[in-house]
Amino acid sequence: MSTHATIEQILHDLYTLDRSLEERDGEIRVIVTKLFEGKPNIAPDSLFVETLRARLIPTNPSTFHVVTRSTRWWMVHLVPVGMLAILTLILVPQVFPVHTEINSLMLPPESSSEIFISPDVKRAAPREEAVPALMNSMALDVPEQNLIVETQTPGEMVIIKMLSVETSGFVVIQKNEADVSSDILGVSAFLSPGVYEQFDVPLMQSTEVGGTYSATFVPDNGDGIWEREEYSFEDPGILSVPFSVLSQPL
Amino acid sequence: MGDDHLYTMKCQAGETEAFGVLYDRYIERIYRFVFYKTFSKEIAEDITSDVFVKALEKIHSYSPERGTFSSWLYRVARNSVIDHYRTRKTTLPFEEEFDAPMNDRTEEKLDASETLAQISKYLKTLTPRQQEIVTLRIWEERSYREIADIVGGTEDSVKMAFSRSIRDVREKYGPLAVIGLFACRDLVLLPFSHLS
Repeated sequence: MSTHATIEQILHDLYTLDRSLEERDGEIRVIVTKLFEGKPNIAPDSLFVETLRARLIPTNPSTFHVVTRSTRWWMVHLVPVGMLAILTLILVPQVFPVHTEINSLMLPPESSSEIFISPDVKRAAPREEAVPALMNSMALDVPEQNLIVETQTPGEMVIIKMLSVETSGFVVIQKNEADVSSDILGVSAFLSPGVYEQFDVPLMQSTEVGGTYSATFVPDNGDGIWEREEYSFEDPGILSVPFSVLSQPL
Repeated sequence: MGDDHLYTMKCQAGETEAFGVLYDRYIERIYRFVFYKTFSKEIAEDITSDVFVKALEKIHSYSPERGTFSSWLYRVARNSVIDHYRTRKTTLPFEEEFDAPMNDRTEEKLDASETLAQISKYLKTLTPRQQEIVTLRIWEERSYREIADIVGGTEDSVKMAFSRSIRDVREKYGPLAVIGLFACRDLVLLPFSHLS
């Protein structure tokens, strides 16, 4: 379309929309013409055009893959299936947990490595990893608080024979020197109120034959996190029992 | 560009060479469109590159049911310009140093600058949306339907906005525009009979 024809078409459209503009045809025509004629004469740089084209459409088609409809179909239909499979793998163990069948009572896991807490490291013990109590204090009356630790053989863990507590907390193993508890060798996982039998407290440092140690139940301060500096062993109400380590159990 | 749809289908089927046809058709138009909004050669090149890279990456999302390929591509360009300035938190420049590549002919360059200055004066009267509609209609010669697809709104609303824009310019510059006509050396082919 020629310039004149284009301008006439624009003016025709304008006057169809707004008759009052036609009364000012002279001025309107000038404005539209000036706008039309004033269009900047712009052209992209030829090197820019060629470079961009080569980048977008390389001679080797494999270097720039266009997502085709068939590819999109594959992505749309199979990716959700994969996501669902992954979700199932994550959720199934939580919905159907694996229990260690020993007797009618739920016993703590034998291996406590997964519930080992470094005495000096801050860590939150998730409720799910906590040692399962034999009896939940909310369901039954918890017996008088008690902590029983039998004579141990040397090793990297201490076996607690029985623990009965009304509050949540941690069992802390310390080395006794001159009847004074000192270094913390190990801390159990978070323990909810209840009764526990035969569970392990893993140690950072092995016990030794002839050594004397203590096992102390330290109540949790409410945050479920063991932080050494937040706990005091001076509370007189704390359960604490000494035990020794022999080469062979009695 | 009736066969744009044919080439977009080929491109969607994986024939990247088909995109080359579309590229050749639209590179200058898109570059100009971007340049009219930025008035900077470097920025226009950057944004134009982004436009075509995005267009190629997202060609599968184009559907003729939602409009022409031309409108779709202009929309991509428009959004790219907006994104460019949004990240820089600056307003779109309308009057910048005119650094577009031109023949090195001083006289023409001066004329172009004068004309641009006059055009700038007209268009500054308008809102950004009105400026966009006017330049798309007059400089890009896009139909009202296409303009509506690009900037949003209905065809009727775009027509109304265009007529209102011209009226606004006329109300402010009507008599001065006529004076400007006689002062502008390159406007020699105008029909003057209606002015007498």
